[in-house]
Amino acid sequence: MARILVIEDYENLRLIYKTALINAGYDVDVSSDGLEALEVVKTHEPDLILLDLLLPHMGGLEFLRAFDLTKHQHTAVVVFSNLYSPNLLEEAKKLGVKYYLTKSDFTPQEMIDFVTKALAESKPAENAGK
Amino acid sequence: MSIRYKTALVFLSIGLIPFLAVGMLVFLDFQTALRNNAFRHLEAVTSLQEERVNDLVAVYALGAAYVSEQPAVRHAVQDYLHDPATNKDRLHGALMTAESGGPYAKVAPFQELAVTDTEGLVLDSTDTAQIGIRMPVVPRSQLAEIYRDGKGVHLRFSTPMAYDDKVLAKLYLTISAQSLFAITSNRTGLGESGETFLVKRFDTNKGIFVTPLRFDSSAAFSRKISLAQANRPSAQAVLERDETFTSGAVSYRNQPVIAVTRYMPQAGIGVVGQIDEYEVYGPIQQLATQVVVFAALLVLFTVFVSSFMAELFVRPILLLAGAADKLRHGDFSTRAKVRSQDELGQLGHTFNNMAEDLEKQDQAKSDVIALISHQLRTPVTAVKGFVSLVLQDERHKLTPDETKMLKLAFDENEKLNILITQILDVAHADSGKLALKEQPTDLAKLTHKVVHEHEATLRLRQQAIEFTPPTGSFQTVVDPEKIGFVIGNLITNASKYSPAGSKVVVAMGHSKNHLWIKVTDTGLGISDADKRKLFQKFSRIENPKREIAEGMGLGLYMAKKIVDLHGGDLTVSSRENHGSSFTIELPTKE
Repeated sequence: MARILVIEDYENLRLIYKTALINAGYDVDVSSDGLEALEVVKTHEPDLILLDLLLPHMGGLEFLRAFDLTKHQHTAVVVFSNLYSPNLLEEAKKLGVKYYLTKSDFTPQEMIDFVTKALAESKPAENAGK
Repeated sequence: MSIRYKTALVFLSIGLIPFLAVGMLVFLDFQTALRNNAFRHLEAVTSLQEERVNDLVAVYALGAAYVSEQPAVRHAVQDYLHDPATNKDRLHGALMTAESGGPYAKVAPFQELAVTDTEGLVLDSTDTAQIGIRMPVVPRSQLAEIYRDGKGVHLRFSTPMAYDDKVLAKLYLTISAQSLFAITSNRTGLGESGETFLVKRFDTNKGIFVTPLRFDSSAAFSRKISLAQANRPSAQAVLERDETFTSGAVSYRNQPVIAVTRYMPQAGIGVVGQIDEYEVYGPIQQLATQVVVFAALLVLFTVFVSSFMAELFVRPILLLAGAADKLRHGDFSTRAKVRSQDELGQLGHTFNNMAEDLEKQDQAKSDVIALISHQLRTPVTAVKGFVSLVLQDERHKLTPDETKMLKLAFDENEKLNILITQILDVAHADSGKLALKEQPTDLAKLTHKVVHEHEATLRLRQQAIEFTPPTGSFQTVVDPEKIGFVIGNLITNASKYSPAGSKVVVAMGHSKNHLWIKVTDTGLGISDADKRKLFQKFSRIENPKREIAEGMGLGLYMAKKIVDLHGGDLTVSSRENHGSSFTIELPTKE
C-alpha cells in the first residue's frame, strides 16, 4: 500500500488526516514541521506528501527545497494549506508541485479521493501492478 | 469660469487697456497736431497769395498812373479835350505808341489802353470797338473791373488824369488775367487736394469764382457761388469775411475741408485757401489702421501667453484632481505627476505622501484580514474534518437525530467557512490578489443553473423568479464560479429587499461587444444616497428583513470587483419604492 507523509503543525488536523488515511488503508507518517519531516523521509520514502505551508522551524516550501523533488521522482506532493497566495503557488510549481489545494474546501473523504487520484496519476504503472 | 479663461481675461486687461488708453491719447493728440499744423500751413499760404494778388493789383494800378503821366499821352489827351476833331488822330497815335512801344509796356505788357471822360465814356481806345462804351468809374488809381469776353478774363485798371488839380479824363489799362491765374495755380505745398482761389461778388445773392479751380479749370468768371451757405468758405470770402474753418466746412466739391478766407478791400476780392480733411487726417487713418492691427496682434499674443501661463497652473491641478479622483475610487497606488519646484509641486508632493500612507494602511488592513481569516480557517477545517469523520464512521451507528444534528453542525460550520473565504477574497482583491480561473463558459447555461439554485429559496419567501433562456450563443471566457457568485448575489439581494408575492426577473442579451445579464426586482428600491455607497465594502442598505448569513455587506463589493476584473461593468438603476435593476456587462472573448 502507498505510503503517505502528512506534514501539518495543527495537531487536530494531523489527527483527522492520519485517521482518515489509515481508515482508507494507507501507510501514514506524520510530522509537525519541515525539520522533523526531513528526518522521517530518511527512513521512509513517501509516495505522496500532504504538505502544509505555514509551519514552525521550517516552512513547507523550505522543506521542498531541502527535500529536492528532482531526487525523488516517484514522490507526489499535494500542497494542502489554508494560505492562498498566487506567489506561493508559483513558487511551489517551480519546485515541482502539481497539486495546490485549500484545506477548508475538503472533507476528509474528499481529501482521500483526491489523494487516490493523485497517486494514480503520478505512478500509474506501479499502482496498476498492486 | 475656468482658470484658463480667467487668466486670459486678466492678461487681456493688463495688455489691452493701457494700450488702448495710450493709443486713444496718442490718437487725439495726433489729430489735434495734424489739424493745427495743416491749419497754420494753410493760413501762411493763403496770406502769401493775398499778398501776391495785392502786389499784382498795386503794380498795375501804379502802371496805369505811370502811363497817364507820359508827356505824349498827357498832352495828346489835353489837346483832344480842347479840340477833339483836330486831335483825334493824334490821341489814337499816342495810345497806340504807349501800348506797343511805350517804356511801361516794355516792362509789363498790356492788352488795351483807353481814355474816357470823367463819366467813363470811352473817347478813344487802342481797340476802336470800345469807343463809345461806358467803363466802371472808380475814384483812384485802382482795379476797376474784372470781366470775361471771347478772348478770356481780363483785369481793367483805372487812373484819373488831372490838369491843374482838376480831373478832366480817365485812363484805363487792361491786362490778361493770366498773371492772376499764375498766382493761384501755384499749389506748392498744398498736397493732392489743397488749393487757393479768388472770388468776388457777382450780384446781391451770388458770388463768382475769379480764378480757375483745381478741380474745375473752366470756373474762372463763369461758375457762380450761392451766398446763403454759411459752411461754404467761398461764400464767406465773397461776404468779405476773414474766417477760419477748422471743421464743418464743405468745399465746392461737397468735400469736408479745412479752410481760411481773406478779403482784400482794395481789390474787392476774397482769397480762399482750403484742403480736404481727408488729406489732412490721412496719416491718422493710417495710424488708426496700425493701432487696430497692433491691437489684434497684441490680443493674439496675449491669448497665446495667457494660455501658456494657464497651462502652467492648470495642468498640475488637473493632474492632481485626476489622481484625487482615482484615490477616491480606491486606487491607492495612484500618484500625481506634479514635479514643478513651486507651491503646486509642494501640494503634489503632499498629496503623494498622503496617497502613500493610505496605500500602506490599506495594505496593512488587508494583510491583517488575510492573517486573521487564515487563522480562523484552521479550526473551521478541523471541525469540518471531525464531524465528517464521525458521520462517515460506519463502525458506530448514529441515531437519525444524531446524524441530523451533526449534519446541521457541518452546514453551520460550512457557512462560517464561506464567510471566511469571502473575507479572504475581499482582502486579496484589495491587494490585487483575487485570481480569476477563466475558462470558456456558456453564460446562458451558467445563468440558468444559478437561477435554478435559487428557485427553492425564493419559493420559501413566496416569491417567483422568471428567466427565459435566450437563443443564440452566449459563449465567452470567464471564471464561472465567480460570475455565478455575482449572479447569485444579485438574485439574493433582489429577493431580500422585495416583499412576499413579488417576482424577480432575470434577463440577458447581446450588445455590441458585450453580453449583459439583468436582474430586476419590484422591491424597496435604493435611494440616491445609498446608490453612492452601494458598491463599497461593508455597506448594507438598511433593511428590516435583514438576514445574518449574507449580512457582511461584502456581496456587491465583491460582485463589482469580480466584474471589474473581467473587464466588464456592474451598474444599477433604481427608483425608491419601485424596485431596482442591476446589469452585469461582460466583454465577449474567444
